[in-house]
Amino acid sequence: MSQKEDQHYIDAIINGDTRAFSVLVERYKHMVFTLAAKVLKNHEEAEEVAQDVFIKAYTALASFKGESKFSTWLYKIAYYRSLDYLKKHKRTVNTGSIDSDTEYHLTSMEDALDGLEDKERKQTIKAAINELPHDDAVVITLHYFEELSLKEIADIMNIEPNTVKVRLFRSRKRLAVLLKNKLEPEILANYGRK
Amino acid sequence: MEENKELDDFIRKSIKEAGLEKPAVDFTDAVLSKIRVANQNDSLLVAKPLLSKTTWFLTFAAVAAIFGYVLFSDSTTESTWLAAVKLNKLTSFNLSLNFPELSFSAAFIYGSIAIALFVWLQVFILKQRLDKRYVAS
Repeated sequence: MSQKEDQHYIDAIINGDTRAFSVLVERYKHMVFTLAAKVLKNHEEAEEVAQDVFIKAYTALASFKGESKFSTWLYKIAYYRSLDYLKKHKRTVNTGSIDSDTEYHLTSMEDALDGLEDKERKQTIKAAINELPHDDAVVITLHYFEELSLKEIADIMNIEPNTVKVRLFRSRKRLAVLLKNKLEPEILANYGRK
Repeated sequence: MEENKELDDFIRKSIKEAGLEKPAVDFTDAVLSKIRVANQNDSLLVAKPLLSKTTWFLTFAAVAAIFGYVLFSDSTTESTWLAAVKLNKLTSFNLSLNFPELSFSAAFIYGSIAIALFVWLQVFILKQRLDKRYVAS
């Protein structure tokens, strides 16, 4: 979505048109909700935090100077609000340890995924992402889905671009391992057929 | 390197496939109505003091006037209007004169001080506990 278009609505809101905000909410609600869900691993809480993010953005809109994209600014609020929520409720999300040295074979994983029904395939991938530590899941979503640059992700998460790169490399492997574990029965079945 | 590229493609494809999570259908409405409520509350919540400045000033002036009168007026002159409302004792009021025989044992005084101290401590401890409870809930 172009920054220019966003700016048009932002100006309208600052000039008192509350309804213009609904356009921005519609535009970004999925991504904001997804980011919150990746951190909190719980849909009800993510819903609450995501609403809170938009309200916070609304009240702070005048302080948005357009130095970054509106979306990046919004995602930053979403990321930090979600972390705050975890901290406030003293919740730690257990993701278990993932052995990233595990061997996996991409072709057989692709075959196994292709063998699944659409819905099941989506669920399997989502379940695997859900088992990632929250920072890994956020990095992966921002990079692969939203296709943000390392610099933009670094800005959102307040870390160095190089750290993003390292984290991305590590989370990619972890996700592959998690997916492999989820797909194990299908992979074995496929071998049997060959 | 080749393997990394493959992995990169595979993960990209998978993530795109999985898509984003969907919030509740009424998400946008919920946000907008919360903003509306917040806007209304802002205008409602302009704090109005219980006592206006004028009332405070008048109260203070009245209290000062009464104290001033009692302290500085010549107590030997009987005020006719104070006598009329049977308040002429105000001008010759002395607490110790009324309880000439009142005395306490040392144990009683120490005990009272100790109790007062514990009650005072309890205020802080209770306050801290209650504060924690409200933050947690």
